[in-house]
Amino acid sequence: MDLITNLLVWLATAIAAVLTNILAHDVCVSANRVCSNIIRRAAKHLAKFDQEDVETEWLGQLSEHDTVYEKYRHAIGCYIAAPRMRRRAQKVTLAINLRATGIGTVPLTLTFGNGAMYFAFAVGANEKTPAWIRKWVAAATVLHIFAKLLLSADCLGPGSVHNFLQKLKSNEFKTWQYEARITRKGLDMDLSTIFTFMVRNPSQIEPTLNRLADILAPQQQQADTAKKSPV
Amino acid sequence: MVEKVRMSGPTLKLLRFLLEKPLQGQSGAAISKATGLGSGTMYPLLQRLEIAKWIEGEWEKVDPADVGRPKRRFYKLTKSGQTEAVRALRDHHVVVPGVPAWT
Repeated sequence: MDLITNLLVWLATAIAAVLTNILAHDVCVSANRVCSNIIRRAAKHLAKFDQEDVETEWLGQLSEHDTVYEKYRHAIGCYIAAPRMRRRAQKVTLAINLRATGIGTVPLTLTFGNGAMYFAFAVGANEKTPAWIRKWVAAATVLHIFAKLLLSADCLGPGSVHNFLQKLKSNEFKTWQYEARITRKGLDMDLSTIFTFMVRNPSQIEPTLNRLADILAPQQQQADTAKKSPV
Repeated sequence: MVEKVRMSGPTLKLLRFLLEKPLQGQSGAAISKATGLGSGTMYPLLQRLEIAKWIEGEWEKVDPADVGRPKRRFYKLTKSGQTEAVRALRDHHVVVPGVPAWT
């Protein structure tokens, strides 16, 4: 009985060894193909303007790894990194320096793309959101920006806020000098002239912002146009 | 506007490695092997430093068809990046490569 049991165990072990060997061989042989597929899928999670370059870079690095373990580690790492990289790449920063008479240079940095500002713009831009919520969000956003401006201008002391508001009320802000820069990964635009123009002509703010949005997301717009007009 | 870079262990490791040969571009694989950082940590870090203009990336000047593999991208510190990296390493008491510790 023991002999039969031992023989069966031996046979099972031999079969398992052969199957494991075949499986291990398959894993090794298919590593390049599987890892390339993982990287291609990971690249789809990146920002649209980033996908092609980063995919090439990641595939390039895959060919530099010698062992199967390193290849899989690299591919899975890319898959984990992609969403974080997309969020970071899509973040748009607007940096404004205003030279106010009697106050000095006031820096103001606004970040769009994630966090509270993104939420505010998403809610504000959605037409299905009830009007009163949109109004509240708009008011909160304006207050948030204004608070940042006051903090940056060091105008929170007694009388300072009043003084600052008087400067705004008397349209003195139209004579100030502005430097504005908008940055995103792969994009760095000097908007000083446009910003000064918008401050001095408030009626032009909306068309100018629309034009700016078209410049910042041309690929999305092209894709939307292509969808609307099928050949 | 140049963004602030948050200093962490992996960031310091990466900066230290890039400072060892500041004029020579390093591929992602070389950085990964030398620093032990996985792709999941290294690529977001490289992206952050590139956006902050501490490093710049340059594509390998080869034809993929000739070499039989995709092009590589090499990273090296910019001039301002070198200054900032040395400052950051000193602030965090990390020995700066190429600079004697008593300076």
